[in-house]
Amino acid sequence: MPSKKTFLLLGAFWVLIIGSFIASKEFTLRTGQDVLLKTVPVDPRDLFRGDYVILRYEIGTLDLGTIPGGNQTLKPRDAVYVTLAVGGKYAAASSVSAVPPAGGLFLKGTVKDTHSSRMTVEYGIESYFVPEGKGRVIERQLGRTVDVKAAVDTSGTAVIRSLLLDGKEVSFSK
Amino acid sequence: MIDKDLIQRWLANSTVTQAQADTMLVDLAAYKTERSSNKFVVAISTIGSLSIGISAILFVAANWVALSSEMKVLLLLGSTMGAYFAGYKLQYESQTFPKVGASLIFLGALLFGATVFLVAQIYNVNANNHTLVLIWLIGVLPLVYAFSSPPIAGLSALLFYLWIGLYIFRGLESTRAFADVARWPILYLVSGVLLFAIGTWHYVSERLADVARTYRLAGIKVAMLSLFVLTFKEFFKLSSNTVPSDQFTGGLLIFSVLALFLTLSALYANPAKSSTNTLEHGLSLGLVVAALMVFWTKTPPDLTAILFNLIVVGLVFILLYVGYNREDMKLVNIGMFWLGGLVLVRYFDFFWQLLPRSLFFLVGGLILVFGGMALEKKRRQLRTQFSVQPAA
Repeated sequence: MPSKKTFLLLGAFWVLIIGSFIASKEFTLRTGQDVLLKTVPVDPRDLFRGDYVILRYEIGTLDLGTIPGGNQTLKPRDAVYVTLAVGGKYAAASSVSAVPPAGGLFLKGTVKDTHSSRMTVEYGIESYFVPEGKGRVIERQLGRTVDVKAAVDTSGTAVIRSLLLDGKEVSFSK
Repeated sequence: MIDKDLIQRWLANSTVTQAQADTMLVDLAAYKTERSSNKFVVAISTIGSLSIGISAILFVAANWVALSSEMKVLLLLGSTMGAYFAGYKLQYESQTFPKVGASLIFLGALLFGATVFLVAQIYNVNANNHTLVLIWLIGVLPLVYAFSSPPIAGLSALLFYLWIGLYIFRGLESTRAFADVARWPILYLVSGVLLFAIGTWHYVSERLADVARTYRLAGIKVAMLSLFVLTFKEFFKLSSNTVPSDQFTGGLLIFSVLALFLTLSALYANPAKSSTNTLEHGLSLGLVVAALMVFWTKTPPDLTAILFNLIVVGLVFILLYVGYNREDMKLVNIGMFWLGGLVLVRYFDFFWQLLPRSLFFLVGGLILVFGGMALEKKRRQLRTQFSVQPAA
């Protein structure tokens, strides 16, 4: 029979895991720099998978022929670091690297595919969860500008803060 | 095992007196009734736990806006700890409802997973992220050892295989991922052998015997499924013109090295004290070698498929042989299931083109009906003979 101490330790272990998970995301949200990312249209039939929005970003497709650092050999599933330029309204990709840059704001991603001189990258922020049944409200807004406000921390990890339709934050509160 | 026939034989040989035989028969009947009742309670409790677990997951999926994110996390985490605490109290402290208690602890493990996915949803973590399953698995594993729980061991085995799939096959749209997906049976065959060896080493502790058996059976089932897929020559044609990614190759090598190491050491040490140890682990080594040969060399698809068909047939008969000798119904069921499956698909393969359609379905139907009856009759005979299931 497991002792009371073992039982309590296991319970504490679960709380620690969940707490650490929350803490890592909260760290990014509280300490990260906010950037506005422009999304690109996706096939409306694939826009929703269950009740989450599939997001694709302008910075998700990089032209290796023109972007600095694009001459590196990167394969699908390699880690990649994309330095962001935040001078304009939207954050834009200014260079790409296989190692974390020494300074500046950058996003850590994973190479999804490389074809000719184009590279597709995922940043872990390609899903936005919506309440059950509410997804259709957004789906009917197709054709409007969809932007994402994300927090990016010093390690390049991003967490979505909010989704914006034509510049207005989408809210699902009753 | 003791049954009515054995008691009658002892009575006939004067090994026991009539009074002793009567007492044993009464005890045997009571034992069987209690065992059935226990199984029923376990089944109902487990179904209840699963239903509550599913409702929690659906609650997460619904992304209910009536509560704030903090409340949702507290609610689910509170339910997780509540189920866990109640289960521990019922099973170990008061010991009033041990079976229900065990089911509640299992429910706690499911709710823990739901909590992980809820937190992921709140922070919009990518929906098919393999890390979430890994976190769930890491959370569940200590419970396997603390409570020696076969259902939680089964859950951990399922999460292990799910994690492999999500990790190796992430980025499905990329062309390289297809090359990896086409090789999934090889990876799962090796991981099946690995889990079987891991299960064997759990026999080192008598307390973990049930966990050991759960892992070994899970390993056998996944290995058999993978081998079954490898019996189709189309599989080899699919993968022949593609190159797997470095990540897939690296993962396969790591799993193979682990599987070979654990299997070889189990072959020498025999932690399960099994009389068929050499057979079990010799075969395991052979399967890993066969998987690696198929992965590294360009063998003709037809020949390779024939080889795997022979391997599956051989394994089926070994499962039936070992199952029969140990009176282990689970092994017999696995063997019979895959025997039936193999006969069915090979029948389709050979006779679909050869026979007129009507005759194909007539003969196939007759084989299924009479074959099914024969298999079921044999299964029932074996089940009535077996009353205790020893370790796999």
